[in-house]
Amino acid sequence: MDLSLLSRQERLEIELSLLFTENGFNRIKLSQFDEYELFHQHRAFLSGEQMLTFTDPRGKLYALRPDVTLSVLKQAAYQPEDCIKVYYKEDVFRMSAETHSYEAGRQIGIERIEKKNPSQESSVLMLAQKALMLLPVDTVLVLSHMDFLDRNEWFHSLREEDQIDVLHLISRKNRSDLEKFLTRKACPSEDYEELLKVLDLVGSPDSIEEKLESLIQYPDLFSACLELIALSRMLPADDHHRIMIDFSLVNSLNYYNGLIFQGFAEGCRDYVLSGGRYDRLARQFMPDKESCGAIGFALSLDVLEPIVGDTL
Amino acid sequence: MITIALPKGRLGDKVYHLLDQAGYGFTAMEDVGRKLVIDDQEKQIRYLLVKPVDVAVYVEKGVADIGVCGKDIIEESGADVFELLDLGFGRCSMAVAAPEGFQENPRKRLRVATKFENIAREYYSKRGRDAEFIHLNGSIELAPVLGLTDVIVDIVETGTTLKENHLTVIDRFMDISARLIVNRSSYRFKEKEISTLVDRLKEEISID
Repeated sequence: MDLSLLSRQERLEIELSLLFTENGFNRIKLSQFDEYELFHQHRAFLSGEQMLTFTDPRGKLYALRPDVTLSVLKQAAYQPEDCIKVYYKEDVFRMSAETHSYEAGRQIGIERIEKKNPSQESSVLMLAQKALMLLPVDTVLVLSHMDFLDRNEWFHSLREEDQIDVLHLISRKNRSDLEKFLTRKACPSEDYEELLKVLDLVGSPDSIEEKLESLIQYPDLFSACLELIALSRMLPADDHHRIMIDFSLVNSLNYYNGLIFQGFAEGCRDYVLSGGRYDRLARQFMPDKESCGAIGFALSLDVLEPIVGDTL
Repeated sequence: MITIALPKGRLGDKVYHLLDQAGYGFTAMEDVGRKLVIDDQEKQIRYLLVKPVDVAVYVEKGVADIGVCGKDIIEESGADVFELLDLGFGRCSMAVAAPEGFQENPRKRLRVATKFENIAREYYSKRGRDAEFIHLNGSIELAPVLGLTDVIVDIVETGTTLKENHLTVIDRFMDISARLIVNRSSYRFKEKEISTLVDRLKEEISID
């Protein structure tokens, strides 16, 4: 077979498939649509994604899949294996914020669901970094951790919409408005300091290590930093494929916990890879497996278009 | 090279002055003329001169690494960018205003005139208030005066225009000022250059 006949995107898809297969992940094929109820029940996980729905001849409501993880979990819940390692290449159908119309976007990613164990993170992160290294440009893998926020009692005492505002301000690195918000909500001084400290925790693992001493009074943040530094040291990296720690990378606590990460490729305006640990979501599908841990990531091929989008 | 989107007009003049003080002014100012793209090879900076309302779009799409625009522009556009610095000038508020003596009827759908439809929608949606939005591009204050709407959602600085049109502020709900915004991906690849620029601007702001 003459591989030169393939487009760069097609070659990348093959290279990623090989990478995932070599690491023990089996291809899973999903239907392009699923019961509307599945997505509706977990709407918060989908960050309010609009869905393209239709009714089948028997009156049952379906939706074109806005996300792959939920469909994978639905299948996983019926599988007897203790360790599920799958990869997928699927289209997702989402409303574009720019054009206000529905668009299909191609994703390729993995999900690993098994009894929670310490090697899950390092092995999945290793794959994420190797996937980024297949790209023909410089890349940065950004690591973050949600547990310090998950353990913050003041944060949990807030109404859900206020929690969303805090996450939004942190994710924008918006110090001035975060200060005002925390003051307005009478945030206790220790939590106030910790939440603002988060915005300073950005840089290479070495630079974060230098800041560790200033974090001793915040044990949850301190241990999260230690965990991320240890993980980053296990990953291959060089001047063209860097690792960065940035605690402003946050996500909904309803579903995610622990490690979250994003990958960036030079020349692409947004993150090209996104992933993290989602034990809470997985346990909703597998309530009998309390110790179940789930972690995965996906690459968005449409975001990669500027660097691999040309055809023959 | 860092690409900076500068807003044209009054805000842009202030931003340029601040950047100049921080050591990021154009090396050859006399050559600028009516150019919209200015490359400063010596400082390794490219400046884009764009309409203030478009700054957030240029930055979000990664055409510019950095930009300066008002908080109102960021919120209305919904641009997903980092907001690294509040520059402290261009201060005003986003507010709901109505004719003096206005009594809201909760059983009626509220009619709202605004140039900032997304911000207004978000405001009333958070409060669960049924509202109809009428998009106007200017002289928003006229809408309730002529009975087109009940209230307006608009930028309020001193409140003089409102007063002259017999309107009064009901709720100031958003503080607005000029913000330094950064593309999320650019930040990952140009973190050092961007952090240096931010630190220098912070120094200048604290001196002022």
